[in-house]
Order: sequence, then C-alpha cells, then structure tokens
Amino acid sequence: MSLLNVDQRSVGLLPHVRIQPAKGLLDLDLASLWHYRELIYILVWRDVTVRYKQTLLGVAWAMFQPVATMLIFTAVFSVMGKIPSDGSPYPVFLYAGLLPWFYVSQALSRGGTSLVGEAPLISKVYFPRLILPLSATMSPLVDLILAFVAFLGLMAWYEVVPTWRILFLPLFAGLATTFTLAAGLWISALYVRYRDVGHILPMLIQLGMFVSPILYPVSKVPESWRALYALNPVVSVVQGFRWALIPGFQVDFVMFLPSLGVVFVILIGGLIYFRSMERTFADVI
Amino acid sequence: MSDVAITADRLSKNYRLGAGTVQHNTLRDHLMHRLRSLTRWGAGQSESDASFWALKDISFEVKRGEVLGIVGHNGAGKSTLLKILSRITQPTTGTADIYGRVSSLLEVGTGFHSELTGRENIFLNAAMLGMRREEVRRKFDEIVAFSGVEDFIDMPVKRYSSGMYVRLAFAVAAHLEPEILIVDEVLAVGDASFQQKCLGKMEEVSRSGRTVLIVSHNMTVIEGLCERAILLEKGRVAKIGNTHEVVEGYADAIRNLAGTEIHARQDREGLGEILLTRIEVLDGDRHPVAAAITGRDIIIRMSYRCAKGKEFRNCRVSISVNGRKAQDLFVLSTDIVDPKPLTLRGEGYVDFIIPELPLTGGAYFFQSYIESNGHAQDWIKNVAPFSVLDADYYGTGKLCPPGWEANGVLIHYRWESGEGLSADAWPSRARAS
Repeated sequence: MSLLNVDQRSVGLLPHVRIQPAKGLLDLDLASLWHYRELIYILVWRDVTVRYKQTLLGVAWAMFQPVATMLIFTAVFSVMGKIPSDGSPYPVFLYAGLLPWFYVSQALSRGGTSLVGEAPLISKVYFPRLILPLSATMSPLVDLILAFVAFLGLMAWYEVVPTWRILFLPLFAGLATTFTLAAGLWISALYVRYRDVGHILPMLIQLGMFVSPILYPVSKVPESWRALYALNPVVSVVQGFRWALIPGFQVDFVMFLPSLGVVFVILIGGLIYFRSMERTFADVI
Repeated sequence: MSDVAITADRLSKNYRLGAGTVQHNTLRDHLMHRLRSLTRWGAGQSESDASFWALKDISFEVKRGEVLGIVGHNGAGKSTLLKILSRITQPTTGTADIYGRVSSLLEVGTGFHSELTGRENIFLNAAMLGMRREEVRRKFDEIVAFSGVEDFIDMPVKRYSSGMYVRLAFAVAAHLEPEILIVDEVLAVGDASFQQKCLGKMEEVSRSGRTVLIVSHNMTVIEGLCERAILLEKGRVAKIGNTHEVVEGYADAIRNLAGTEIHARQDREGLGEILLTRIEVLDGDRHPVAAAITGRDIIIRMSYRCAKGKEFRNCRVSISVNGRKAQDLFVLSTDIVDPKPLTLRGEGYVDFIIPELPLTGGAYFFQSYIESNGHAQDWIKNVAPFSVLDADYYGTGKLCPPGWEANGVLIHYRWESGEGLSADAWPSRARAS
C-alpha cells in the first residue's frame, strides 16, 4: 500500500519516489511518516497555539474548564444526587475521571474531523494523510497535562498524597491516545465519505460520558452488565487513571482485558480502512 | 538513468461513477442504494459499474532540466496527471518514478492559518510543503525580505491585506528550491500581478536548469518556455514531442469540434419567415474550427433558410460579438459595410470575413439578427459560444495583460516618446505597432 518508497540508491542524492497504485492490506509506510515527523509536531503546536490565541486567560482555560465542570457536577451528583465515590472525596474521584474524559472527548472530536477540516490541504498538497488524525489526537495531550497540574492542586487541597502508582499514569494516557487514534481513523475516514458523521459524532461523545464511569463508580453498574460494560475502552482508561491517582483505589484488572482487545481490533481495522480509503480522499473530499 | 527526472509508465486513473465516489455523499443514499440493489439482485448490476478513465495509459519521460508543456481541452486529464505526479491522488494502474523534490505553484498559501502570525505561518506552511525546520531557519530572513512584509511579520495574517498575504505565501513557495516544479496555470489564483509573478518564477526556474512541468491554455507561454510538449485528449496522449508540432495538433483537435446546431432554439424573436440554421467559424482556408486564434483571419458563416416560395428584399443579416461580461464588443452587419441590396430566398449563407481577429483569448458568444424590409425576422441572443485562443497579436512575443480575456478588443496602434515639451518634433525613438 506504499505510495512512497524512499530509495536513494538509484540516483545519487536525489530522493526517488515511485508512484503506484496502493498494494497490500496494511503497509503503514513508516518511512514517509518519519520523513514528515516535523509536520506532526508543527500541527500539534498549531492546534494548541490557535486554541488559546486572542484569549485573556490563554492556556489557563485548559485548567479552568475541567475545574468548573468538576464543581458543577460535584454540586449536582454528589451533594444533591448522593452518588458514592468508593471512599475518596467525590471531587477528587470525579476530577480523576474528568481528566481522561476531557482528553478522550476532545481527541475524538478533533481526530474525527481532522480530514474534513483540512479539505483544502488534502486536495492540494501531498503528505502522509495519517498525520492529520495522528496530530489531532495528540494535541489535546497538552490540555491533559495542564489539567493534570490543576489536579495536583486539588489533591493538595484534600491532602491526598499520590503513591508510586502515579508513575503508571503515562501508560493509561497512552491507552487513551491509542484508543482515540484508532477510533479517529475510522471516524475521520468515514466522515470524508459520509457527512452524516458530523451529526452523529457529537451525539456519540455525549452518550460516551454516561456509558463510562466518570460520574459514578463502576460498583454502581449491575453485576450482570459488567461484561458488556468492560468492552468500553474508556472504562479501562478512567479506572486506570483513578488507580494511578487515588491512593487505595481498588481496580479489577481483569476488566481491562476485553477493552484492550477492542482497542486492538479497532486500531488494526482502522489502519486498514484508513489506508484503503486514503487513495480516494483527494477525489471525494 | 541519472539524467531522468520523471518517468511515467502507463499511468491510468479511473473514476467510478454511480455506486462509488460521486453520488452517495450521505449514509442514507448509500444505504438506499444498497437496498435497491438487493431488491434487484442480479438484474441491474451494470449501473454501479459506470466509470470513466480520466487518464489512460500515459507514458512519457522527462529529462532533468527539461521544460515540458501539457496542453489539451478542459477535461482532457491535465490536472489529474499533475495531481498524480504531485502525489495528491493515486493512479489506478501504472507507475511513475520521480527523481527529486517536487513542488507546485498551485500550493501557494495552502495551510496558512489566519490566527497565526506571519512568522508562524512561514514555518507551518514550509513544513506542509515538506521543508525542514532547519532549512526554514536558514532561509527565514531571505523569505521575509522577498515578501516585503518585514514590519508585519509578528502580526496575525488575518490582519494582512490580500496582497501581503499572497506575497508572503509566494515567498515561502519560491524558496522551496525543488528539483521539479509543477505549474498549473489553469488553477492559479490571485490577481493579475500575482499571476505575472508566477509566470516570472516559471521562466526563472526553467532557465536555472531545473525540471518544470507547465499546464497552460496559453499557447504562447507553452511555445515560449517549452522545448517539448504533450497533447492530452480524453485522457490519452494524443501527441508528444516538439512543442510547435504539439500546439499545431491542439489546433487540429479543436477544428474537429466545429459547427453549431441552431434549429432547436426556441428562444427567438421575430416573424420567423427567415430562420438562422447554423453558425460556423471557419479559418482562413475555410475549414470549420471550434475556436479562432487571435490575430488570424477568420470567417463567420451564418446559414439561413427562408419560407418556401418566398423572396425577401432589403434584408439585413448581422451578428454581434459579446464579451465575458456580456458587453457588446462589435457588430458585423451586411448593410453598414456594403450598402448593396440583399435579397434572400431558399437556403444560403452569409460569410463575414474578418482579417486579423482583434480579440484576446477567451470565451465569447454571438448574438444573431436577421431582418427584411425593417421587420425583425429572427433574433437570437447568446446564439452560440465563440472561443478564441490567445496568440501574439502584435508580433512582439507579449500577450495582453491578464484580466483582459474576452474583455475589450485589440486595436493596432503605436507609441512614441519624447523629452521636453516640444510637441511638434517627431521623436527619434518610436515603436510601430
């Protein structure tokens, strides 16, 4: 499926490119991705810069948003709704779930619209198309880090001392990125063909918050539904975040396995689908 | 091998119509289509197989340092070919080998973000065009100087004037230094001076020994810059070789499309006893052509048919040419240029013979009018399109400035210059038309 084979043997220093119809099911063409790695960096930088340009608070918005959401939800669900939080203070419990959820929802919506949003680019310039969903799922990581800084403040307020488990946080952030990239590949490629995606996606993201243990603990989910529930990769991400951030938080790691399988299948399928659609992006978009 | 820049080997591009890319842009359409084809299982499958070859078996080779022109009608596959060579879209079959970095002037300003400053956009745009950050840093000052927007470089480009914006974008593209430059004049945007700049860049690059591919409708540009050219027709290579021969071939191809059927028109005014049946454009040798060429002799033939058994005295047959803004440019009328009486009967034609067609390249249209004894017989507005290919009217190697396509007419003139205030003396430096 290679569009670009960098082969410098044949003609001195000149880069050689062979243009041919795509072959094979899953040729990631990592060579050209590597060649364009600076573009990934610069697109992430652009997304972050543009988001906070001409704002008074600037990057502080990345902290303000989850904190404000946490306060409102705490008032509604903890104070009024009396939702349990498995032992830890509800605001800490909630924020540890909002942290990855904000990332996942942003990465999904930015990743999903990354191709259609850059339509003029796709029909005018060549670069590995994979770069667009890739950089779009990576740029909210910057917001995640800033929101995490705010979380440290929250922990200090409640005198919660993090344990060694916090070192595993990047692992779960990586799982979140992998999942959102995998889903973003499907969504973005489908969006090029079917503009219906533009209507479905915000709905799905909204729904996602309620089928994931953000506002409530997993213990609230009926036993009989747990197996189905565990297929949702966001469950693992959120549970992982809580386990890493809240001392003494109990997690059933067996529940991770189905969702890891799901992520793997979506990712491989997404790469194959994306690659097969890629050749017609410029013609269809 | 090392002197070859591009080798294309049987490149083909198939666009699927029907079930595929074009019609089903929403999920509903697609599902409906699936449903419909389910209910007619095995019966109507052929519909979804509709496809056409935008390019078919294109093979050619471009040597390093060569300037190759690509000509052809709209829809002949020129832009598709350039898109494949610049890797924006993939061929369906066939291969192309490209040696060297490719960039194209149609990418100017692509990826600029209005919220970012000029400085930031330089880096962003350059990265999109495949330039390394290191390289941009090295050339940064040069790019800024070339663009002439030094004072505004840290201002968001949304506050730029459109001229500044284009200059900055062009400065980035101009510093790419590709081994292979692709220029699609058809798609070139921007104002007249910018297009002029593109043309200048094209000439400069071609002189610097780099490989250039040019798509243009302007035969003078092609003949002036290219040693070799390709004529594409319906996605195939119709001719390849020496530029002059290819341009001739292009004119031949246009000739084959001549003749306009008028009889079906309903939007005519007048008594209708005399009807216009046909308008043809002929070249100086009276061969029908689909397009005239600036500065060449042409003949406009209007054929008519009169009501059976009748004779019409004091007739006037006229045709006017309208430009792209629908303005009347000139009128040709039998009575003005020659007052002899014109009597029409049966079928026949009137030829208007125009020496050295004074129109720039572009799309015009005709308006026809026939009257007898002061009564309008047949009047049709927009009766037929009339296309003119641009050529060098004044024999100086220059064309009319952009913006004048199908807009105004060319006249013969000369100019002189002098110094001081003496109005009566004949100046020594004078240029004739």
